Amino acid sequence: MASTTETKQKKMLILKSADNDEFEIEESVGVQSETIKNLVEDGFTFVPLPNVYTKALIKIIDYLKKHANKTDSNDEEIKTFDKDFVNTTFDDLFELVSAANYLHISCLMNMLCQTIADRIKDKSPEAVRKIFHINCDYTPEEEAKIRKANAQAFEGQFDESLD
Amino acid sequence: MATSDNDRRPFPEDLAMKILPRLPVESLLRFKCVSKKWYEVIKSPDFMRKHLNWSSKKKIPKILIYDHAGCPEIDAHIPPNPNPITLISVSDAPAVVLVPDYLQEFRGMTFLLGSIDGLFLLEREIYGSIFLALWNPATREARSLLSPNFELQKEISNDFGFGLDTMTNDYKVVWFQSPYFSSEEPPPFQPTVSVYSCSRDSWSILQPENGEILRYRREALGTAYLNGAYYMLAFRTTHHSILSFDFGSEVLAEIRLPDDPRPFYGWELELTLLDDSIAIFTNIEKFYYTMWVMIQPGAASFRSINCSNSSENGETGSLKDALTGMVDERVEELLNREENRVLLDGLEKATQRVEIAKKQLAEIQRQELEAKLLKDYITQLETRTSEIAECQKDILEARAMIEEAERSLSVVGDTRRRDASRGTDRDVVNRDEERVESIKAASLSAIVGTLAGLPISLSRITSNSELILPLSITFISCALFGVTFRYAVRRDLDNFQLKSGTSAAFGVVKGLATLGDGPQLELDAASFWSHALDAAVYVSENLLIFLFAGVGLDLCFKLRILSPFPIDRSISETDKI
Repeated sequence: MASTTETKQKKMLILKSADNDEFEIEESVGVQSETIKNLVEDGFTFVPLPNVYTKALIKIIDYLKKHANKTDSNDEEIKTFDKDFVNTTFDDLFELVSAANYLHISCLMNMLCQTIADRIKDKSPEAVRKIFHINCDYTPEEEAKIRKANAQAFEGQFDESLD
Repeated sequence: MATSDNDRRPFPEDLAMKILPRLPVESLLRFKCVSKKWYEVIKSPDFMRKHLNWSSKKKIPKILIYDHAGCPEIDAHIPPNPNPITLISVSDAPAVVLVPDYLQEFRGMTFLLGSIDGLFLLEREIYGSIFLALWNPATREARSLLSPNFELQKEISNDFGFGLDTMTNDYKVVWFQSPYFSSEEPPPFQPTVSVYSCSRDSWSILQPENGEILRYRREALGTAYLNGAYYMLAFRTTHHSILSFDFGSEVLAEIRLPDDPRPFYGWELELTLLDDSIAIFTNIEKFYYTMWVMIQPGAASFRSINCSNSSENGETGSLKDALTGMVDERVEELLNREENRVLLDGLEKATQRVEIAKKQLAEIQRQELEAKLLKDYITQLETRTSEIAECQKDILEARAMIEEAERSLSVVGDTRRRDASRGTDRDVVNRDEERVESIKAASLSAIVGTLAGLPISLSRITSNSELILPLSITFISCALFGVTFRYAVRRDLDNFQLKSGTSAAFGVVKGLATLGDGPQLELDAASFWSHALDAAVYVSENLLIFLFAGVGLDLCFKLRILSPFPIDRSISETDKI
């Protein structure tokens, strides 16, 4: 593992964000993303990412670097890193999900989706609407009808917070 | 901050679809009222399947207990059980007693079958009518099924199966109806299989050809649904089987049970689902179980597992773990074997093909050989034909020759036959003719001889009177010579020695006889020499006469003036004719 990393050390990639910022990373780090991997295999060393903004890209490069050096000994360290990584606002999470989806980084995608699901599962429909920036398109009567049909699901108190 | 929220673009739907399946059912029911879009997403079958896959990955096992007692139909004397359903979660949560209001109408149900993907089938019989419903405890929904439009038979045994048609993702209910098991023959009616399709919301009635087997069926412990098929046991008098009903093809199939060393006591046999296998177990001896695990559904291949239950408490967990391990191992083993079998099958087929090709080649070679032999035979035949042709030619020639010969033979034969037939009277005629011929020869010879001797006689005489004696002697001897010559030479006309011999003999005898008439022989040389000279002269003279006579006769024979002895009949006759 270490030797292969060393031999590939010289191979570098340049990622360009939607904000036109360029980041140089090792190829071995970048190929954790299926999207980048496919481009590298086609001979590209310059990768424009028109759907990924600089703020998200910096975080994702951090994540990739951390996970590229994954060993048995730093398992705890990575877990802590991941925990901090997702400890952010919904909007940031959505940005990251969007970027991870575009870059096809399945482990990151899985972690982010599960984080979002866990954080919204006890929330009220109103809170979810705000978090996801969704406008309610039901009339009050329609909404009341659905609530009545699923009365069991509306028993008790729900988390109204937006974070 | 809240004011700016709705200005942002809404969260993409495709990403929402990746998050929502991870939510528990309760949250999803609540989020139905987030928006119409979310409602549609959550209610869509595609989402449900996704959700099912997610939740089954990390589902917490739950046990649902249904208390059958107190069913008003069956046990009218027992007060109804107010809380028939108990849900026990294997996790730390306390047991939940369910008194769902929406299930009120199914209170006292006679049958509860579950679960497929968390769905249960409820059945209730009220005064001969059967009501069915599907129940999803997670969404707390119950959906009544359309009542079948067929008449219910009396004295009937009803059983239900519930499963998923894996091809169309359609939940189906199968209803087996058969007369109560009895030895009565023939049965009062044929067993039927009715199938309800949730997507079509309708019943269809099948009368499978092998439906007879349904009379011997026995329900499994729990729900024996696996990979699109529903399983039961069937106890025939001769052997026991597993019945399977495929929800996709809607076909009833019978799988014969393995032959156990011991005879089965049918009613001690049970069928159940063991993880992802159909298992049969029997507890013939106390604490002793034999299990057969059907490795591949539909294929009658079983693995026998003997397990002794050491503790009476029944450590089901460890037993199950052990079984699971064994089953997995065996499945893998079998799968490998199945793969191998495919390869082996291929190999076998290839070998067969090679064998066939070999046979064909051998056949071709044989045919070629035969053709060659046939050709040889034909050439042989041709040769023989030419030979035969040649032979035939030869034969024809020979036949021609034979014919010729026959022809000539027949001429000779005819002659001979005629000779024979003519008899002695002809002989007389012949003798006379011979005599005539002899006289002719004698006279001819005499004339020729006399004429030849005339010059010699003339040289010796002095007067004509002296000529008479030698001429008459010559005449008579020549006549005799003629007759003798004719009989001596006969038909051997070409024999020169004979002819000249005869002439010579007559000449020498007559010449020497003439010498005897001359002077006596003196014993001196002069007398001897004169006698020798006289002898030579006399003999020469006579030789000359007889030679002439002979030549004359011969000439007459050749010219057919005279006939040699005997007379040629054919010639003479043809001459006559």
